[in-house]
Amino acid sequence: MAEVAGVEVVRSGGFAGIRRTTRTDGGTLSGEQRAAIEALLDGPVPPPAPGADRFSYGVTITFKDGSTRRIELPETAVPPVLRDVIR
Amino acid sequence: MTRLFHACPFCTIAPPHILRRLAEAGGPAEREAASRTLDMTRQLRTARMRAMALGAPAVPVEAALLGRRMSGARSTYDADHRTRLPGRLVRGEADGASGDPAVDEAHDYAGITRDFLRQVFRRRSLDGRGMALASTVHFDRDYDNAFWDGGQMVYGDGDGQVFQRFTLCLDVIAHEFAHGITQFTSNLVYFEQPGALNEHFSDVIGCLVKQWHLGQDAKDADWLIGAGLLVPGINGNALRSMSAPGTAYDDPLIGKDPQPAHMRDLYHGTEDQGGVHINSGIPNRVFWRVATEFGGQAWGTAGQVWWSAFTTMLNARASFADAARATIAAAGTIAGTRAASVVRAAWQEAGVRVPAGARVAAGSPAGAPARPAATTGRRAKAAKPAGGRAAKPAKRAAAKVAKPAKRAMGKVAKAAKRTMGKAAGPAKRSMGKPAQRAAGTVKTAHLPTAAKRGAARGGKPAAPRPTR
Repeated sequence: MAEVAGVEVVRSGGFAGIRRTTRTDGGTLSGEQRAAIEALLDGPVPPPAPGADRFSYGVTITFKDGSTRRIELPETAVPPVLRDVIR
Repeated sequence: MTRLFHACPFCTIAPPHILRRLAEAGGPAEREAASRTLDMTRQLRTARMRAMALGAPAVPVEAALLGRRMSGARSTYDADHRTRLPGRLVRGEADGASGDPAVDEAHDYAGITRDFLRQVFRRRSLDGRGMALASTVHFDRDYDNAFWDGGQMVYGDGDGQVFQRFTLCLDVIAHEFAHGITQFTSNLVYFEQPGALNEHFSDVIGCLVKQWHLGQDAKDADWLIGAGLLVPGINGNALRSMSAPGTAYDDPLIGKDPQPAHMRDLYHGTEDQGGVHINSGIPNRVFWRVATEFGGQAWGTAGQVWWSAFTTMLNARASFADAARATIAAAGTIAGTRAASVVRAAWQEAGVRVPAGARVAAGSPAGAPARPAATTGRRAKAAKPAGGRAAKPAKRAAAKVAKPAKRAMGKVAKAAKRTMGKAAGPAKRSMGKPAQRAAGTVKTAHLPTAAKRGAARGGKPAAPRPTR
């Protein structure tokens, strides 16, 4: 897998239903965070969060070779190590 | 089996050995409380054994016994800015104010919502059986949200830049509460139209509880959800408006309220679980229209119609058209044909197509489903009036009767199963570890993965509340 250039996160849902976009430069990611991102990309589609009014995240990862990957994550599937990136 | 269901207003979830020690060694108050709980445990065990001897399931007996004592006993917890639930217990049912505004708001507003449901809709807590109510405040840091996790209510403090603490508004708390009711009744799938209906019902209950608490008529109410939740300086007066969806806020920092009021503006994207908090604007405005047309108190006729439709007539995959059919039918049963046409007109005004033949069967009791809600276009079409053709529609009708009846049977069984499974969620906190494990294995066998995860979560039984 090519090196991560950046991560764009669109947070939607939650009680308020307000959409928010945040971007993280790939250069600021720790090795642990990169590994966690790769694990998310290779892993199975996470089950939806139980209950209601949780946040949903649309995560787009851009690689240095120009390619992109997109994953949808419920709030409950965000690994603790990525909580500063996917928020 | 030593399983302790906690509902005593004076004690907390505690394993019997600790209670026994308290009963022996604590001060007079502790001794009294612990003895009472142990006594109740004994009563429960006896009742359960008696029920089992008679061949009846144990759970309803326990619920009935507990419900007589305290229906919907509240426990309010502090997550201490972490994300582990439920957190540290800070206020039990009988405790006075804690002095922490978030704790006291969550606690008091849950009490108001519980009282509203009991008095207005004769509903005993979330599950109709007096289930204990757990709320957690100070969840995470700067957390801009409130949610229902499948077993309890959870509130963030807000980031202070956009949001204040989410416990500030009675309607927010009632909204979360209502997600619990939906889970135990229609169980509307949290995605696209059924998800938007799930959100809509929570907003309706939020508004009704607020108006009931303020003693407001429909025409005097602001019909806003989360009024005062945005910090001063943000251009907006609330998060949603039921009377004018799409107008609650418009600010460079948070954008513009995206809610549509008409089907032509329905959101079709994938965000927000397929727009559950966006498209709820459409049914929200319908309810406002109906409540103001009926006049008087919104929790009166309009509330009764919606309650009946949403808790007894919708299936988990209901569409807006299904909700329209159900509310029109409920209005006909509860308030007559004129009321039914008001409801029909309101849905039509929002661009929701309602078949002209959709009406309730004469004489069907209030609250009883006139017919299980249709989920597909095919069935929607079949419900249209048949004109002069007699033989064929009759045959079709007969076939239709068989199907919904079968489905209804399935639904009852499923609902019962769900209740059992869901009981594992809240109940797990009151169980000792071995019982919890056993309950987990038995009760989750039939559940989908997500529900299993919910039931398996929870960990150790909560520690006894520190005495003061």
